[in-house]
Amino acid sequence: MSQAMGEREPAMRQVDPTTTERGDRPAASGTARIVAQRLERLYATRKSEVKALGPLDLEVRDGEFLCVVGPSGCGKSTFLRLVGGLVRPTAGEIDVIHDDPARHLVSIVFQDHSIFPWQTVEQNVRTGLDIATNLTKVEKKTRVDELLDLMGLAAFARSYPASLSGGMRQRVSIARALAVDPEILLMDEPFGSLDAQLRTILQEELIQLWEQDRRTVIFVTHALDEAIFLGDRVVIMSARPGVLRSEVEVPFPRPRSHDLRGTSEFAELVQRTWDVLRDEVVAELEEARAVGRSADGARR
Amino acid sequence: MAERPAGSHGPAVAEGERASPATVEAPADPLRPVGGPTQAAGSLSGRGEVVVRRPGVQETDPRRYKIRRRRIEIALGITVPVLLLVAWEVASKTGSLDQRFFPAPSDLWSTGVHLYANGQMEDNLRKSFARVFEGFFLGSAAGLLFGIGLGSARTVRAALEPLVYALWTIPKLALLPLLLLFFGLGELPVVLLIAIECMFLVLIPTVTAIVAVPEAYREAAASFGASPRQMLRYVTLPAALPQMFVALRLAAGASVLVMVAAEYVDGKQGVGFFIFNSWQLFATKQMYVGIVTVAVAGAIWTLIVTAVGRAVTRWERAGRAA
Repeated sequence: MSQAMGEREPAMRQVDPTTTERGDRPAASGTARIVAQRLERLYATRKSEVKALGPLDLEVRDGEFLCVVGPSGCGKSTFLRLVGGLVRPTAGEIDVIHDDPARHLVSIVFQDHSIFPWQTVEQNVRTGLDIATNLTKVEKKTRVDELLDLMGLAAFARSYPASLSGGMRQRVSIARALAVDPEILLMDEPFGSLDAQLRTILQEELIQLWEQDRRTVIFVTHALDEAIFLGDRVVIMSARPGVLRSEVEVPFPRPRSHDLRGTSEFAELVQRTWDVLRDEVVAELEEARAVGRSADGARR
Repeated sequence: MAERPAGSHGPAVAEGERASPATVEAPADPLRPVGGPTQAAGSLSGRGEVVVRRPGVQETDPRRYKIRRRRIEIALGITVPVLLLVAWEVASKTGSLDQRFFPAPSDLWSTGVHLYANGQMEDNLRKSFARVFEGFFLGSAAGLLFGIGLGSARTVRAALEPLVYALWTIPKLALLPLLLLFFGLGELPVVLLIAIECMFLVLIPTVTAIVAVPEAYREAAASFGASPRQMLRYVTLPAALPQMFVALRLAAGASVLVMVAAEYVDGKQGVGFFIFNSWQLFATKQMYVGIVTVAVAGAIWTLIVTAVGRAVTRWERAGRAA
């Protein structure tokens, strides 16, 4: 730990929210895994088209834990859906490297209400295996049991989600995504609906889990402290249409524990990053006000 | 108490027994454990009226309270109908009700026993409910199938939805003469009419339920690369199942209604025919026996459908307090 503390100081100096310098940690291998080029997504509404995202240029490194932060409506969830192949871009392109075509490429952990209420915990975790793989019953059972153990869900295997707490439900959601052992894990504000205490606990669990396998993760959140605590790198998106505003190489060494939150370096980085994000959130608010005013004007 | 700063308000709850001059003067660590009952109540006396909140019977013995409540509710549920029956009996026997229109329940009972003893009612029941089952299963199956088709394929919906809603508004009983014209008197028109009614009752809620399946569930399955068939199996059907069963329950009730109405016109046997025939013969008691028979059998039939629905949608009641 003392060595780790020694590393922190020089790394801190590299951090500048407005530059894109990279820390010299060995965590991510540095080769590009996901490359987005001039990526755009429009949504057609009744009256007009709204640009939700882009143009966005972004590279995600192999084995990197990337956090995406931005004001609401900045298209960060859209970006995740583009990576996951749930929606197609309206312009530009996104390339994802699939190392082993036999392995599942991406899994997504959604915010809430996405685990199936009609399936027990066990069945939910097995769903991805049922849909995406040809494993035998026994193989699936082994895999599911492993994950239930890992996520502390074994006692609830036969329960329906409705009888679980919010934190437990999110654990099921993560277990379901991990069951297919994806090369890339996408997380869309997975802890957004949890209270602050549970959120903290689940963040710590997630980081421990991730530090064991170090698969490529894109984690979308609106909570800066969460992004900095979890991520190797945090990118900040602008208000709609979302483009990349700045990025932060998080200098804190791994393994990280909850002690990190108490350090002044952590608080300082959160504060400095917030100064950047704050401008975007304010811009988003101003725009909403402007829209409200023009709508008012139209009514008169 | 004297050591407490002048500006502090409220009872000495936080300090409890640990409050001593030493800790007040030198608060080494602001974080300290607190436990045990407080003596706050004592410090409240003499400060106006004390509002006390304490457990009542409900809280001190919740199990017994619940059981007692349940017993009272069951007793009420039985006594009220029984009292009404007794009132009817008395009114009928004393002549305040016209016996020709409202025969006494005891007389109806003996007529019923007689009709059941000679097997007449049983035959009628069997005939009628065979029609109900055939019509219900045929119609519901068609309704579910078309509903799933319309619900999951936008193109199919665009092509057929206006037509379905137009046909939906036709009172189905108005179709009976047409069916009689096509197929003549007999089983088929009755069964078909029940089937048509059930189909529409099931079809429209099924379409609505499928269209309303939350996108989040679809996305979850899509992220695993679900094929259209897998989507149907893992998401669409289970998500829509509760509403489908609400529709099936309504269809089960309607199937009995249509059966009775159709049998008034078409049929030489069946409970509907029996009721109508009793009217023609002015056999009031028989009529009542027929009506009660349909009511009870219909109630059992819908209860069965409801029970099946509950059994296959168990998650609906998960997490709810028993």
